[in-house]
Amino acid sequence: MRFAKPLAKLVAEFEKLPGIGPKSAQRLAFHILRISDDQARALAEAVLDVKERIKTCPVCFNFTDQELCEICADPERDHSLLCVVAEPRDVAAVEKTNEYRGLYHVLGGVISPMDGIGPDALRIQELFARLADGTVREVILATNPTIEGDTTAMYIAREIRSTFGDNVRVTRIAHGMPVGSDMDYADQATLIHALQWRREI
Amino acid sequence: MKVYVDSGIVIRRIDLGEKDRILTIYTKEYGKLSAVAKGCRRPGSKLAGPSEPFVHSKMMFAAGRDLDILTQADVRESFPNIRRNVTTASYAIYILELVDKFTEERQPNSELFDLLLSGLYMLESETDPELTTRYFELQILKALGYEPHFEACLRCGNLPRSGRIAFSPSLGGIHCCSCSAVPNDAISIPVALVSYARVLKAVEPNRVRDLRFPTGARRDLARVLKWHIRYRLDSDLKSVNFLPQGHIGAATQPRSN
Repeated sequence: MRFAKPLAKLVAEFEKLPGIGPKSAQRLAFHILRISDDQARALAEAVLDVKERIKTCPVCFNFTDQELCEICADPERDHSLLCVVAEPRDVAAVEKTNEYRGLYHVLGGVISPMDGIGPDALRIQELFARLADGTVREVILATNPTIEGDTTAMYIAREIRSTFGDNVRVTRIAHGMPVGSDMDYADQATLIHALQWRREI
Repeated sequence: MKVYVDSGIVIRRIDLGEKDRILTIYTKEYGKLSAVAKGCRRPGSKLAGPSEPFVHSKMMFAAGRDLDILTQADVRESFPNIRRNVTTASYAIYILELVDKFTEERQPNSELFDLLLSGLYMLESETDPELTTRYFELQILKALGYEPHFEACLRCGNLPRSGRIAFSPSLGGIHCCSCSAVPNDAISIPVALVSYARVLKAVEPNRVRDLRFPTGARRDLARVLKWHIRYRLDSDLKSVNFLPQGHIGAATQPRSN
């Protein structure tokens, strides 16, 4: 059976979303038909609103609806500490901890030779522009502990050292045994790391 | 064949949904295959480590409807030294891409598996990464029957003693430049390069670390192999631009390093 045109269009739009197959798209579309007009309008407005008002912060490249994002504009935060992450969602992850009081820099991806993504495709130049005025004393590299994340961190660390020498401290987030995991299943690389960077308790 | 076990090296991975990845694995018995590693992107997942590129594990697969599922993996070697250094990591990734591009799924070639493993061990043990990669390029071409010939001119069988000769990817080897018309895809190389190429073709993997090649020979060999591989694959490898000397031979006019 073919759907009526407006319904078919909605199904087709849902199908374009990540992880949504043809069946899920139909289910969502039928659900939209059942909800109240107000709910449907709220959804439509939220979609348009987010596209209209969300921009990237010109300093850290996190998503924001202000000129400057809340974190960059906050005078209470430590402007000498900069946490470099791959994606805006990583900022949210670090923020959730309530532990970190410094600023962020979103690279917009990681170096991935297999996908042809090099340092030039990331916001590394912008990172260096931020470091140039000498306010930042420490850069924390918080990319994923995957081959791409490690490569990105090593690349940035090398470049910062060769440009700024000892003026900027470069650190990498710790990796080792995840909370609630099993020694038996830890891979060699993780265990080596965990042993090398063990600490006294 | 419901469940099977094999030694495998992850050569590529792409994210699938929220928590999963599709891995491309080069296995000893089955050749290249794709399998889903379910939940491997969750922190603490038992499959997280074994799903990283160039990790070598003993793996158990369950045959699925479309894709097979990686159900268990026991890491044999994760090559921590390769990961510690941007340069060796870039060479290792290039080697993985070579294997990926040169092979079809489910075409067993245990010789190629052993070659890949020894290439990774060479990078891990800090053998000169550039020579290791050249060695690997020559050996993978040999294993697949695309071996470039450096013995003598492929048209007349002579080899000039000095000066320059041509290397032609379409001919599959060298041309002396004097017996017949030079193929139009030929690049000019010094005669001296053929002896370096022959040494690297014949050497045992554990002797590569003893070889000393001058800069010029390294550059020319990189260029020759890049052209030869490009001709065979009909495309460029993405990761080649990330190698320290990756730009050599990218243009027809070789630039200096």
